[in-house]
Amino acid sequence: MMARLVLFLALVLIPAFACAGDGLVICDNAYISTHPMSWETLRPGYEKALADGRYFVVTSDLLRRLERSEAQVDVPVKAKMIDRIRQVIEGKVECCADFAPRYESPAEAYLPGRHFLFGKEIDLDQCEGGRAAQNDELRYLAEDMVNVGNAIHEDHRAASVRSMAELEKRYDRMLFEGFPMMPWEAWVNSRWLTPNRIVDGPPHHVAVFMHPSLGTSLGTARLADAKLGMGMAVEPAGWVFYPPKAAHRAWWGVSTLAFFRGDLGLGVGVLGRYRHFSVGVVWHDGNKDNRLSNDRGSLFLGMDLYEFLGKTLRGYHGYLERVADGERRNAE
Amino acid sequence: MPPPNPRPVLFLVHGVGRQGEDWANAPQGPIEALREAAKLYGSLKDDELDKWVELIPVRYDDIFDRLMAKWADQAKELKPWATALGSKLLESGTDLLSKADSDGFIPAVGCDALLYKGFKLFAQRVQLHVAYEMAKAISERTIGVPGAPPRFYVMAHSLGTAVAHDAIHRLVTESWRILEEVKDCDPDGIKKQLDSLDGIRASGFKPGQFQFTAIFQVSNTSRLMHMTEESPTESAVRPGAAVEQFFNVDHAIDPISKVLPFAMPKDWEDSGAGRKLVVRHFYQDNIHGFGHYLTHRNIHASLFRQLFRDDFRLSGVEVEAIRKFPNLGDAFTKTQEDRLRAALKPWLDKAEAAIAPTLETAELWLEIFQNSKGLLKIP
Repeated sequence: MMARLVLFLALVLIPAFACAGDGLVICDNAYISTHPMSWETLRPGYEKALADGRYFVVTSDLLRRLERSEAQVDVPVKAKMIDRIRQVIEGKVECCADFAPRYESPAEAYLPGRHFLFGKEIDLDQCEGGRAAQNDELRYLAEDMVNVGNAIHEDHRAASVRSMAELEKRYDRMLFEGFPMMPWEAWVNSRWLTPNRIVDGPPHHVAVFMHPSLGTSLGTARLADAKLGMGMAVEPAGWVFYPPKAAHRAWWGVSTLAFFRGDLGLGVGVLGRYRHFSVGVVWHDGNKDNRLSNDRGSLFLGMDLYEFLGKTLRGYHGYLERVADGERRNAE
Repeated sequence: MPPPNPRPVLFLVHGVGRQGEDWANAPQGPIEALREAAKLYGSLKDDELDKWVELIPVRYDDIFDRLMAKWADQAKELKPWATALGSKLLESGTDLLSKADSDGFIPAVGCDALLYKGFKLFAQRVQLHVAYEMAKAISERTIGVPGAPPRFYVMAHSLGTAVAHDAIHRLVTESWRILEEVKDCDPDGIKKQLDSLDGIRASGFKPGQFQFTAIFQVSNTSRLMHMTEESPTESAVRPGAAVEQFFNVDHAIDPISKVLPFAMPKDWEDSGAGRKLVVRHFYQDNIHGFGHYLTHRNIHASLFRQLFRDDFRLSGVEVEAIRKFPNLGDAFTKTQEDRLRAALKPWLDKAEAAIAPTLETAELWLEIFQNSKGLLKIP
């Protein structure tokens, strides 16, 4: 009873399992995983060669099977396939996307199509004259070659994917963590400084053009008279450089500077930057004689540097206060 | 027939608009449309669609969202200072830019197209991301395949047709392995390596090494929006190169695809590798919508035919249903009727009120006439 049940299940399930495959019915033959030429059947024998990268062994074996096959009754068709495989073995063509069986739809594209290999060189739906078994076998052989190609390119693809992941990080660093380009700057840099190849990565040279930011300047005539004031800075022109070895993690640059401060009015100067920190010198017409040459320069600090220094100073002050508190308690 | 093993893989690439993380599963989106479509066919309806095909949505608009948010933040910081300076130009400029991350039409819809077409740097970022998602999926699914090799398909919509075109062109033409070959990231070093590197081993995705089985370009804007030097009919994204079959899907009055319509070369059609699918149906308000296109039986059945090949078996009734698919959907027609009725109701009510006295008078005269027939001896 149990044996009959097992047999019944096998008869029901094996065709169902065998049907699951490439979706092609070649001359009334659906895909069967147990076919002598299927990749399921042949792959275990090729494991070692594939693992060792000896793809020549695999493709040569497939060629031998084709040459010895009794199903290959149409000699010209067999010769076409042999020629194709030989071209791969001899390195004359890429391997092996071209081997994938092609399914060409009719004008009403939802109706069943016709099956071909290599464009229309081999018509897999020509089933007369003993071609049915031949075409079916060619289908398996072609898909075996595609699988060999996938094995050949496995490492290259993985390496490509790793490279692309690294490039994604570089682009993101440049666009979202790097020098904060305004839309017009992004347009200028896209138009003239972005390389054509993505594999070259994002640009290493970036133009600065009318770049606005906030900053503060400190008059340095005498420390006692030093005036600190915030204002809006615009860099009319400048340049930022991302050193290649830093992979867009760091950048530096120089720019001309126009700084608008409420009490002192417009000042002009230059600034240098390293990452988000910028420092420069700006001259305001403090004595209102329309000449900058007789005015002392003021130290300009970009907002990020100012806040960084402020945070550091506050931290230092906090440290000093804790030390003083400790000393007071010890004295008591 | 049981579902195929391995399943074919279909990459879905969206168009303009604020897409969420799960954009493809949104109501009236492509996945909902495909699931509903699969239920219409006997060979598919017994299984979940996911058992038949692996759907991989690819999202790229978050790159634009991040850019807009960054500019908005920068502008918001500068705005008070621009106002204090008293310059109207600066003030309105920073005000406009500070709204870049809002949900208005232009930031949400128009900016995607503008940022892609207007900025090569951003376009490259998007192309890289889409190419990377495809490359990663292909690489993972072609390792150690037990049986028949998997097939890979792409279906893109609207701006996504240009993005998909450009990304696939980059995927199959650039030598991606180069970063692993050149360790010091020196641009000159990269150039020298690229010039001398044996192209056959440069990526694993070049034509001949890999091929997408079919691409479906839905509401194709690639001719207008592509950012490759080669046009969409001359690039690597053509039958025989990066793709085996090319389907151009268009609605007869979809305005988006008509700005600079994609013109399929005659030799693509003559060879049978290129197909045009043109539809004229009205099932949703947004005829340009990705899901709307997929509600048409010709479209989704053609897609299923490509994905599942001979496993997609159509009965005579199903073929007739495709051939005679009505261009007006019942729900759409009813909605339009209700809208028309609602729009006309005020006018109809006014007209009724206006002629009511006349009607009353006419009724009165009719009554008098009927009552006086006997008196006047009218036969």
